Amino acid sequence: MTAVPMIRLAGVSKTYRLRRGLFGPSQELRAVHDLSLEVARGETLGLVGESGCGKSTAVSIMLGLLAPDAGRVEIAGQALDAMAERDRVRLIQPVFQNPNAALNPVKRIRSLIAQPLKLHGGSEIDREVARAMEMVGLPARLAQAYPGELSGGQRQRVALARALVLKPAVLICDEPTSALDVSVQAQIINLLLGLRRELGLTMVFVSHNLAVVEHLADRVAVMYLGEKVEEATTDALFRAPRHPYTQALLAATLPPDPGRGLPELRLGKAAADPFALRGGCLFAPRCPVVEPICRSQPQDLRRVAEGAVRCQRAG
Amino acid sequence: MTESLLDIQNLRVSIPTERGMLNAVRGVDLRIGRGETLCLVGESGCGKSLTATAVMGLLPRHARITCDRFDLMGEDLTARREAKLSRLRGREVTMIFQDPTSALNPTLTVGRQLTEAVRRSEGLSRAAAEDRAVEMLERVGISNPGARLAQYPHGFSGGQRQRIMIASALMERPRLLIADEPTTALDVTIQAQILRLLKELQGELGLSLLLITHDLGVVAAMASDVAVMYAGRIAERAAARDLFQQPRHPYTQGLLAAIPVPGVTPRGAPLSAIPGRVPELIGEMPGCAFRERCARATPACDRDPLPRPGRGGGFVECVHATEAAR
Repeated sequence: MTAVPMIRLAGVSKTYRLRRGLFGPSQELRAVHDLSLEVARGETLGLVGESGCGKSTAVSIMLGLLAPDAGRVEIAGQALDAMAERDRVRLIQPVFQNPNAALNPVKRIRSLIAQPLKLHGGSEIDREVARAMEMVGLPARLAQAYPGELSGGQRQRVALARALVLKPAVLICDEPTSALDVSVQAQIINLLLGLRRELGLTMVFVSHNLAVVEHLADRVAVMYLGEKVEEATTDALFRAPRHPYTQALLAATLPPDPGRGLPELRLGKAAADPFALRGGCLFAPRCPVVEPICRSQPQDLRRVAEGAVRCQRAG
Repeated sequence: MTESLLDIQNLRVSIPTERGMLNAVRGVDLRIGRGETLCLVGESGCGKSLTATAVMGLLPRHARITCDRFDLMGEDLTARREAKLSRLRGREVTMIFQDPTSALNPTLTVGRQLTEAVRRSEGLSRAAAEDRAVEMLERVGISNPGARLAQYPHGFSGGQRQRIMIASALMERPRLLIADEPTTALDVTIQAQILRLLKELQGELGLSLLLITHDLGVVAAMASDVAVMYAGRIAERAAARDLFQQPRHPYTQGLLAAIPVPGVTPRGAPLSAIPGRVPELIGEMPGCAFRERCARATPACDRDPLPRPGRGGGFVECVHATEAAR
């Protein structure tokens, strides 16, 4: 018997209708297509891919901020669309990339962190806020400060405290360290590692920084133009990536080692085009090992030893 | 070191603010040899972008800039720097930025933007200037460049606009290209392609490159020399290989230890973070600016650290620096 996953997405799709240019014809943009994911209780799933791959849309759908056109989303076994907002926010909370945008500049830190509690009419607000601030390593004296008086790292701690004040089971982190300097990024990663251990959090960690994902995630899903192209345990994915896109992504990540030089990716000059003609594999226009059949026949996700891959040629 | 293309000594940039004088660049020496790539690396607020902007002579009017020496291609620009720089800017020294949309005019065709300066400076005919623009666009990997000269910037993707900005910067065949976080806004697969392109063009044109970045992976891939900036000064300068293999300044060591490296850093283990935050650079700051965050700090750090020489013209500004390898 398998336990109920903490997060379950089954065949989730979201399509936007966009007009190209002022008078251009309207076109469909498949932000997320037929995405299925499961995250076990206490597990951390890394979600990676480049701009336009649909990872932020997937995050909005998981948080219940965006309704999918098709598919099901379940949190702790309950359908997300049937859940009341106040139940949902007690279960699942986000941390976003830019704490400046998420924090109202005219509110004091105490009231920013207390905000979710007020919706719930909590009685011991001061104690809960103090507890959350201590948990994320914010000195108590900052309760009366405004966001503008804090450093970028401290503001991200405030965002984390606010996410944790309702004691959620799931934390969805969307590029939480991307706006931070290297030395501060390490502080926040350490904080996330500690909180995950102490609180037994289930996490989805979205990032374009593969080194950070490798450090934090148990399993990784790679997305390309709205589709999951590969999923594997972190070990397997970084040791032996199967999909040509995953291979390119890993090769393009530059390690702090001057002996390595610059990788030759052989991806051609084209960037990913979300409006490109469908029919074959979405990665075919850039794929270094493309074959004629890849351009005409869509690739199905197939199971492999440690996960799944969407490429017939992948080993 | 080869013959210097750029040699600046004791560069200082101060900006008056409501809270006092912001001493953003506090005595920086900068030397770049011909054909070399110097990476200026550091965290936000360390003064790396202001240093680059000062080299371009593009600082805002209210900024105060002084230096003891400013040589570019053997020409002394210390006196009447602004006037002399404006003559060299675009032709001998050009700059590309993180955000290509801010550097390209959305209301002018790409062809017009690429050819305007070179027609003025070299007196080229329109046809000759367009020929060169087509050649440059081809070099940076824009397909069908002849037809695309008539297009406006919005018709190109972010990666393509970055390539167009590079083409535009190289139209007048400069000797020094200053690139401020040129790939930070791009996807990693596109970043790798743009960096390769820069390296190829550099080899062909004998270009010197001053690359400003916060990304140590980019530094490792591109730099011949590295200058690590902290709080408006260069904390350590060394050949790239030496810096990564044997960093000497506690700050450089802290930076390198703070980034997880797949296959090297044990997964899920705490990273070695640098405690505290970057100091504010208002007013005078005697002593080592890093001492409050430094595990090795002693009372000796209250005095200004003197640069200690390293290999190949490198130096480190720290009394507790790890000894240089022989």
